[in-house]
Amino acid sequence: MAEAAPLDDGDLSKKQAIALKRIDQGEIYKQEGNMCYREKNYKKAIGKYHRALLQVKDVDRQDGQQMLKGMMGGVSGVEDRSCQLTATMAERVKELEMSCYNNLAACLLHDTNPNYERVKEYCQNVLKLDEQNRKAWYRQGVALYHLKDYEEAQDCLNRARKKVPKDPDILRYLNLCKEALSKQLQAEKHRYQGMFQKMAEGEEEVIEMDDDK
Amino acid sequence: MPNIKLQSSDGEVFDVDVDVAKQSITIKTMLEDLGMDEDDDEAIPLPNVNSAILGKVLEWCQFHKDDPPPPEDEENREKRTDDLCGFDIDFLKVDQGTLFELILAANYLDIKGLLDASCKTVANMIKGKTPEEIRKTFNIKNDFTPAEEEQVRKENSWCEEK
Repeated sequence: MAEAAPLDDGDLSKKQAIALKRIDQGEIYKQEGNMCYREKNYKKAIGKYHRALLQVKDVDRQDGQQMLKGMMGGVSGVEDRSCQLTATMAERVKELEMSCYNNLAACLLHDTNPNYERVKEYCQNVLKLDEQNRKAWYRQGVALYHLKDYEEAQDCLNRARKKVPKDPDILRYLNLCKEALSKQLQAEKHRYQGMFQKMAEGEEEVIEMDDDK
Repeated sequence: MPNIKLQSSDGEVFDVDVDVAKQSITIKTMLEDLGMDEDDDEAIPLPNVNSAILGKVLEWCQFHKDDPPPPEDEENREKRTDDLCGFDIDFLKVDQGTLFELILAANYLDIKGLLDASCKTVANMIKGKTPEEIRKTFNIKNDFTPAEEEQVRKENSWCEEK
């Protein structure tokens, strides 16, 4: 039972076997992270998810290293560790990265003073891999609401709602956005009204001055 | 000063000052997410970096830990390859294998200063050399046919202007 690899991973090169081990280890960290999350130990979960991501980062050594790859082949003393992942492995890396970033965003939102910029960044990482990811759209919406970018937030939340029209959390944040936007509109109206009034008064003064001449 | 434990691919654990490790944006981001005060005793495995290279990387980080942050407009500025500091020049006088491993590690850990310095060192190894000399430097086999070579020369004649 040593070989638990899926079918198309049956015939792996040595490099691929190392990559596979890293993917396995990454998934273990993710599972541990999920357990910490369920126990509401968000800090610990964050540590686990980051460790999972470090396992699979550059696992195929292809990312941005094409230039080096060409040269490394010729340089003595360099063990070329780049390898082609099998389709199954590549899919697992993608799934792992997506859920780690998504769960990191969720953890950060539990903070007393969340780093919303970071939440936004992680959600964007998820959405780059899966444009349909409802949770990432929702969390990005929440982050953008707190960053006072209400229109963008609305857009994200509406995308999230397409999949689950009646989700109370999404609806609550959509309402919050609506309120904030109408407040913003009121404030703007007020400001412009004041400006127009001043301009009108200014004109009157000019007229008066003309009269004085 | 709090420390964190970084573990190389071959299992060696390095006890590192947080201020030193934070030059890796990857590590810095993680520590920020954890909230800096959180002391996590469990080592952080870095499966892409072996102990020899991690040791070198940390030596570089130690020396540069008090560097001012790079200016904001740095990305737009024209890059130079002759502006390496004395420490970096000596530090990067290593065999090519080590140099390439350092580039990969700097990329993996997202340490911009080290990535820049090591890439510039490679650039300096190429600069001013003929194709044949470059092939010799990096032990690259010429697999062009004469016709292909002529084609490449034609397409790149702009860069051969004296």
